[in-house]
Amino acid sequence: MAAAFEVRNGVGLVTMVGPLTAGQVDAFRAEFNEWHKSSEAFRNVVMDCHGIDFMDSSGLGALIALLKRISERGGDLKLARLPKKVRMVFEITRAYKIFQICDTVEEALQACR
Amino acid sequence: MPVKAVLQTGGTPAWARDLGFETWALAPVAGRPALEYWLELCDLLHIAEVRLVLSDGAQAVEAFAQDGARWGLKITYSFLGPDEDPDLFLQRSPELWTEGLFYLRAPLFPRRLGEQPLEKLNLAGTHLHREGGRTACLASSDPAFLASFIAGGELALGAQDFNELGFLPEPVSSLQEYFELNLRMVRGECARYVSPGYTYKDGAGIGFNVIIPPAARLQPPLVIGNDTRLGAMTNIGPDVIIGHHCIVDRQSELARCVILDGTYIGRNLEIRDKIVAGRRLIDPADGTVADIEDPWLLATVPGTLRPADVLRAALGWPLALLLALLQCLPFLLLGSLLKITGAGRFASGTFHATRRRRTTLLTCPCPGAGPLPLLARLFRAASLDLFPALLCVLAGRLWLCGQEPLRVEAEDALHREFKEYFPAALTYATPRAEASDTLIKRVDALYYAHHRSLGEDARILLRALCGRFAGLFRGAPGEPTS
Repeated sequence: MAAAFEVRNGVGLVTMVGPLTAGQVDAFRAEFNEWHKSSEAFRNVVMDCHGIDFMDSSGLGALIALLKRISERGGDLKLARLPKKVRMVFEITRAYKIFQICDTVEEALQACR
Repeated sequence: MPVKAVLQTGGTPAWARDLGFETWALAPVAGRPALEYWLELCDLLHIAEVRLVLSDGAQAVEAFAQDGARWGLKITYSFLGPDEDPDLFLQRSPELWTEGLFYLRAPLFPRRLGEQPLEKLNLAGTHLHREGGRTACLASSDPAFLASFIAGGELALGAQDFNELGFLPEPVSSLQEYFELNLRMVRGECARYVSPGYTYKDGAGIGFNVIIPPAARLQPPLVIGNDTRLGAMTNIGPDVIIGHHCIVDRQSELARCVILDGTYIGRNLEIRDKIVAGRRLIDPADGTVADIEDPWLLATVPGTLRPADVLRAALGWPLALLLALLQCLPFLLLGSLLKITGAGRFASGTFHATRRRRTTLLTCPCPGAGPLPLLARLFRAASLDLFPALLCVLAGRLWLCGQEPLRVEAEDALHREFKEYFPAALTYATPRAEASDTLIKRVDALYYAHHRSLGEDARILLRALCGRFAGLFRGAPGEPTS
């Protein structure tokens, strides 16, 4: 799992590549928390999930934890470009009701403004 | 002229592989393998002899269909190599088929057209269904036509389609078509295929031993297979097919979906417009297949032992030893007397035992064989006939309390059906005077598989021993239990 963090147009953008499963969530969460704590330039975060080839319930739990953390700072977490298999996990676990899921990164960025 | 059927069961289309089947013939439609619909149709067409041509998944097909007695058919088998042309099979012995042939070549489903179950049909003339420019299904009693067809000709002059016979061979070539076929079945067409022992009243077909808590909500149309458990506050339907041996955990919602046999659906999930086969989640709309790694979301229902089973075994063995010690002397005395006076006789049989083993078991005297002499009744009332079974418990081949042991060969089909098999010396049937039929055995076994516990074992033990003893004073060998 590799994650790239950047700020684009005042919105935090996280691009993830690889599986997001029990083995990767701790490292990812630590990396995200460090970036999120150090940057005060944004409140909302968009997560580009196109590169996630697999996600299990631990990965889903990590995203929910991030959403909580971002919400506590008054922001929102939006997911973009969910691969079909990951979207199916979101559907059966009803996670689609918690997150706003956008088809493109641009759409998600737009929704954050 | 006797018409014979040749059904090609080989070939694994991608959709069947995605569902986890080696052959399309065993993929379930509304909870029953597709092949079963064809076999039922053969019976309706007065066809007694069926040749199943095996290829992929041969063993599973043979284990399912066996000799065909279930459908009143005589099934024989041939094997076709994976690279062989299915049509060439008929050319191996053309003289066998020229009197009349019902031939299925491709993965099709015999969709019945009328609203009611079909009556017996008489096959006359030639009926043909083509797929992709080739004959996919054929029924003919015209020797000249058949000779030409088998020789390699594709003559179809004068052939009719199958509508006149009341059914239409329908292709299944994708997950989407498979899904839609199942949904059509559950939305009403199921009633056209009702098999003995089942009904489809109010749009709901529910199998044996389905556990539905009061807080579960069912919205027909739906089909639920045997031995399936629904959790509290589940919301099932509409348009749901759940296979056999499934568990839907609490608060989950299922709608417009097909759940295949032996699937566990975790807690608080929402399954809509999907096919679930074990831990495999399939979106039929675009064929996306996702294998879920978390066993608390989706999984295959395990047929393994629970920790409590170890406790049951640990307590059962010393109890069996105690009972065997108490019975040893009376068994030898009364057993000898029985033999000398001819009041009862021992019969031996081979049964399926624990851990896929077999065991020989002595039974005596045979229940249900008319009024027993006093000596035999006494023998039975003291449960001395269970002594050989108790020895099997001590040898680790049977449980003390559990399900009725199933006979090898005669009850192989039932044995294969059970995911959890606990053959035991004492069962729900022990106090009964009459021998259990297959239906009662199945219901008892499925009930026990779900409800087994130390308490349930104690109930079986007390009912078995006390019920039999009380039977002595009622002048009958035993009494039926509820």
